[in-house]
Amino acid sequence: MSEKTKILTVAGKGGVGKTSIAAAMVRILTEEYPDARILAIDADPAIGLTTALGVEPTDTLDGIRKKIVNSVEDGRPREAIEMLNEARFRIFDTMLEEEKFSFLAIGRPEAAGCYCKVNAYLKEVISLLAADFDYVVIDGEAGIEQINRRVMEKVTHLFLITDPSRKGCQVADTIKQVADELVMYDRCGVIVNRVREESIPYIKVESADILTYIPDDRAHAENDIMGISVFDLPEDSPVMQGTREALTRMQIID
Amino acid sequence: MELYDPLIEKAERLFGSSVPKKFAYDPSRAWDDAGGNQLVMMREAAYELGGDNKPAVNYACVSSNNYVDKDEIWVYGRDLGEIKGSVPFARIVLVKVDSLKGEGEEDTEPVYRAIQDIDFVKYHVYPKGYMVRSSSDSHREQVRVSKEAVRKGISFEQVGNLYISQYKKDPNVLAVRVIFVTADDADYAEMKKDAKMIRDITRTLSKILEGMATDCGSCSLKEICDEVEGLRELHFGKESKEFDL
Repeated sequence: MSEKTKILTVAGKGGVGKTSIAAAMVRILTEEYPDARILAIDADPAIGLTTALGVEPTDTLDGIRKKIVNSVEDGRPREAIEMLNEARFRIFDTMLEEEKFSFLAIGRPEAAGCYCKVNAYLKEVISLLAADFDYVVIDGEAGIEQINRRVMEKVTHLFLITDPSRKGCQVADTIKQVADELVMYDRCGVIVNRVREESIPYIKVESADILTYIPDDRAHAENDIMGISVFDLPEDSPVMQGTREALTRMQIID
Repeated sequence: MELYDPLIEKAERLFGSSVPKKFAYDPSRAWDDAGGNQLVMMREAAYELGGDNKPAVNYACVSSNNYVDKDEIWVYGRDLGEIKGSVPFARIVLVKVDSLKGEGEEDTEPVYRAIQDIDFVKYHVYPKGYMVRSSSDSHREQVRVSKEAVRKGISFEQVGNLYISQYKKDPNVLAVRVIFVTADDADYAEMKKDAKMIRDITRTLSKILEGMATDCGSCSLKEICDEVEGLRELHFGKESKEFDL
């Protein structure tokens, strides 16, 4: 991985607002660094980041995997270098290149059968591709281990997202423990989302520093329901302000 | 045995009606190599050869006959500095090799390996600002050319020189002709068919050399053997000490 590439990953319990925060990160990075190469990766099978960013991918990495597996099963002899280049060719067909950022959806995890080799090639190509970007933002599944297994092994900035619930905070702690064992990362911090002021003293996340508290935002929740892109949110909306603060504290923006 | 020769003989008829510009190989005029895969984003690209679903074909053909006697770059159609948007594209490589030799059945692997090595040269050439992506499944080779490379005067001659310098690192290669085609009246569909045929011939050769099915009735590659002169002889005459390509 290129030393200059910053890989930001959000992880946390389901339903705590990971996707909105990941989308807000993408928007803020495009505003702060308009000339930078920014790649958003939707590693959540629900592919919610597409809606949040207002993009419409036609295929996913899983689709590529199936096509390559099918061609291998056709009996065509393949060499590693052909497989790598085939994966690279198809990833460029799949990756959306918007004006301000690029987008890649991972899709659903593999079903029956073991295609470790194909997965390994795809992961390798994503890692190589990511190295050509300045910022990569990954919206993860509930756990971090899937990102390690399916997307990449190295993360520079790990954001644990939780709501104020005890369960959410426990999941954040657990993910941190798993990340300590499985994933290489440089920095880690917690974003507590949908917080009411009076509940802050009771929120306990022991494994990492809390970067910011994002107030409950009904307007954003309604936008979310209506499928409105994060790019249409007001700059002073709580999710935008909170995400900006978190990125500042992790020294990604000034 | 002249496995690929009919395809080489046919190739020139597919490149369109224009007279090709021909350049002798000059390694000092090779375009800079980036040293590895590079990313040229759409916003940084002047255009994409084979972009917007336009034809984009690539294949390499080897022969020990005298179809290619010197190292050259041929260009049919517009050169890189003249292109303004996505255009159809083909890069065809004709390679003269020495007779590839084996010393008995167990020694046939070098023949297939030599052909594959020549084909795989394409994966080891990285002209700066000229992002190549290749699909062996669809025989496509698309190229994003950066605005910066165009500004610096990149040309097919320079890119071709870089390719040839890489091909010539292979001791089996005696001479190479790299042909770039962007002509509107070239027959890209037929070139794609030939790319597939070449792939199938090589694949069949691999299967033969692996000593797999000798019962033609049960072999999935029978069609290719029927069509390509010499494959069946190779299949049933593996004791031959030398393979002429």
